[in-house]
Amino acid sequence: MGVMLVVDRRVLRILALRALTLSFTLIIVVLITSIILTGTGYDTVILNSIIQTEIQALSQELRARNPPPPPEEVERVLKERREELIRLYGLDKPVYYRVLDNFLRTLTLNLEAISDDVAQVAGVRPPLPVGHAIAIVLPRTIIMITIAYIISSVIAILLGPFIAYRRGSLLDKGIITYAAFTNALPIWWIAMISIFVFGFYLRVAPSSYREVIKYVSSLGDSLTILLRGDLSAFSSILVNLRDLIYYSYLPITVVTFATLGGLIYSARAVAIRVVTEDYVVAARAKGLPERAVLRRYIIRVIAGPILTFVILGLAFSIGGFIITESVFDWPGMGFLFYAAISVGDSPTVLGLVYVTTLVYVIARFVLEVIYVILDPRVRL
Amino acid sequence: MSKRGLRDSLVRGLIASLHSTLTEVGRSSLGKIALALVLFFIVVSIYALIALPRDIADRWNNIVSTPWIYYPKGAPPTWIKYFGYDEVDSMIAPLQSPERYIVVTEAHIQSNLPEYVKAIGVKGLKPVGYVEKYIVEYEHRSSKAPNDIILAFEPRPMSDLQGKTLVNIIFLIERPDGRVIEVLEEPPIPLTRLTPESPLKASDNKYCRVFLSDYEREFNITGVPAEDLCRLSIKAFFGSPKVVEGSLHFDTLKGRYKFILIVAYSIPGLRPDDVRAEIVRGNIGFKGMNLIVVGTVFGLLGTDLYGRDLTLGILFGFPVAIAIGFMAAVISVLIGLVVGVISGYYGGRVDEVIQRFIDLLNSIPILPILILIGYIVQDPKSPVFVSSGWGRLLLIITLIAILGWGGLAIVVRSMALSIKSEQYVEAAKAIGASSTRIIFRHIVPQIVPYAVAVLVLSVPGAVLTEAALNIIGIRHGLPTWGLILSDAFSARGSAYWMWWWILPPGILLALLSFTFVALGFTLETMVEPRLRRR
Repeated sequence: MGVMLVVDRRVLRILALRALTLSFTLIIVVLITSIILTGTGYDTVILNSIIQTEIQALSQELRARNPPPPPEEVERVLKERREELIRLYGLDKPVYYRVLDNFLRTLTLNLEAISDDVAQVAGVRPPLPVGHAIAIVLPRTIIMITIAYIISSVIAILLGPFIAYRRGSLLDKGIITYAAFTNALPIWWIAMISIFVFGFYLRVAPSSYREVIKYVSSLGDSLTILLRGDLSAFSSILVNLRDLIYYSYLPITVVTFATLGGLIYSARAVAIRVVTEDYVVAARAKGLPERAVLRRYIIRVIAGPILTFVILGLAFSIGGFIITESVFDWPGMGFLFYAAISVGDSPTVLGLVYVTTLVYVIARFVLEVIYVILDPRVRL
Repeated sequence: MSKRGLRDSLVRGLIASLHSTLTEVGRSSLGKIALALVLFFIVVSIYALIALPRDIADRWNNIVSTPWIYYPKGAPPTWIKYFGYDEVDSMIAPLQSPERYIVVTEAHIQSNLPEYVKAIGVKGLKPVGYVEKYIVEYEHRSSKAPNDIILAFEPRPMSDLQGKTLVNIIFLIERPDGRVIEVLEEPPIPLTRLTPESPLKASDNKYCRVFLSDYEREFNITGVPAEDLCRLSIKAFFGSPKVVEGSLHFDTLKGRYKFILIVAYSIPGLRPDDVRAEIVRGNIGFKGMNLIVVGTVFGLLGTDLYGRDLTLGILFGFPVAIAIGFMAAVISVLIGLVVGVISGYYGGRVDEVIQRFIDLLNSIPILPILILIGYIVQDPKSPVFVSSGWGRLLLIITLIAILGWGGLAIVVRSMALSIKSEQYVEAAKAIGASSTRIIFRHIVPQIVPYAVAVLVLSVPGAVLTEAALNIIGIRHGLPTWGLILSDAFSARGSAYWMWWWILPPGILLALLSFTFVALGFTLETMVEPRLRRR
């Protein structure tokens, strides 16, 4: 029986409607962020102080020249530069214009980080377009959080149905306790404790993780060389990989440890609902081999819900864990967001909110499409 | 039915359901544990509200305020002594009435009065004026020296005479080996300069000269730079020096010490007898004097790197955590309940709009938005700066609640939908019951038990979120568990061995979270079958 995808008009209309509402969601989230940053006037304060610093630096530079230019000349140059900067940052425009302008530029990611701190987190020199900054830090978040999440998901998907069969067993109880335990512990606290214990006390892991910038970027470089067909990069990849593992094993372990319980619990809950269904009992009663029951009656049904939380979780992980990354001093997406907020770098904040929400919205849409494929009822 | 009757029946229904809920929760063992823990949290919160000083929050934020400056810095809890660690207790000895006192004039000194030597009796010191001598006996049992000895003074209210009073303070230690070492001497200074915030510390480098001359005469140590002795002064007071390979060590003397404090009051132009009379009348002098032995351990939960008593901070965290959790939970559950019922009961376009709105709400990245707003309102440069810490905390709580009711509203809506189509509701409608009556009489009472379960379940969420915000620098000035953790986190390397700083706040956060999740879980399993029956 081949699955024939009858993509009729109705399905298309449902999907189009979903796409529309999801885009609307994205727009609203970015707009709210823009209003919080610019509409409140916070942005203006930050930009003014940046202009002030720059003008001061320029004035010092002019006065240090030999021979010093005449005071009127200095005044004129400073005034011109100030006006130029005001125009550059759009401070001569009314607030509503700037909110909209920021919003539109965010949608096309036509933004530039205004703070050196943000560039420092990325590990490059300013000027730094926000899209570029995100491209630099995203691999770091993927290495720490997405990989950990994938590990947890795989274990959860394998173990969830397995313990669903053994409800009430010692293993089941143990796993539920573990899930309850990790649910109650804040993940950043586990991170703090593990840095203190493994980083400072036992000294088997780094106590500062900022260095990881170097290894991620040189691993990227070696990979590019390898992709160009130069096999000599292979050994440097191995060396970089070893350093990277040294830096990332503790963060990955912590995130895996903290997310695993909840994921197994969800997978178990989904599976339990299905294994207790009458048709599964009936299938087993009529003597079908367990393997067949699992493949035909269980996996098919639980695939949908499990895909939902795995895909949404993956999309969520791209945004990074703001607090946990900050605790590890791990310069990923979450840490970039924190750095951008703490210095008031609104272009970076907007860019990050936009990209993470975009990924989430796309994941939601992908799920909608998958539902249409998996669940015949939607197509009826 | 009158409005009042409606309200009464609602309240009665609530109380009845609460009562039956509690008895049923008590039946499961998880429920029993959860209830006991809830009780624990509530009792400790109430105790904290009663017992803690009103200004604890201000004091907590000011690390150079009393009493923190009297406490050891980064000291572990006292009870580690019972695990075999050799530590020195902290001790505060109030100095109430002098052991001896004597009135001394220059003339007395000239004639080398025998009573004077007898009264003050140490080392030929000759303070002039009205002289008091205090003695504190101290039994030292540890092979470690204390961290410091602090003399804290609290002068009486300012007056003309008080402003003119001079005090000359001498502090000596009589050791178990019979040696007497002069630790510090303050030449006559204005009495009002001695405040609780500026106590005299035995470890202060400026007294080094005072004790060095004594010490070097007593012990005759050579080949060690004087700075070493000054740096180790407290150890020197409590031990016998020995030089091992060019560096200085001390063997702490155990046994009975006597701390001797001599305070000489004088007022230029006033006879010492009259000075004494003024002091006895309570016009001038000190309201209180304390001798503080700064130990190496402190209290139930130790101190942080700045000497703050963690017991107080942790204790204050109880009511704040409970308040944050419940406020956020109550607000969000109320919104979720109202919106969900409206959405489910009225249906149609209202329902559609509400559902789309909830969809939107659930897609908003909550933590980033909270951090963003938290930062903007606490930056003094910002145009929307909220100066009051309470104001910022309330704002955060409200935001947590406002962004968090979506999930409940969806469930409440589906419950309202199913209840709406029940026959008795149809019947009530047929006999002309108003929508208000149907909602409050038939729908809400059935949803309330579920809403209560959700309320209890969502208490820890807000507390953990708030603690997380503290970690990355969003502050409101109230000592919370999150704030304590965030201070420890900012100290990084210096805090890694201070487990008493990092473990208790985190464990309490986890315990609070466990408590309410366990209670909520019990409530939910209790409520669920009832829901299914309907």
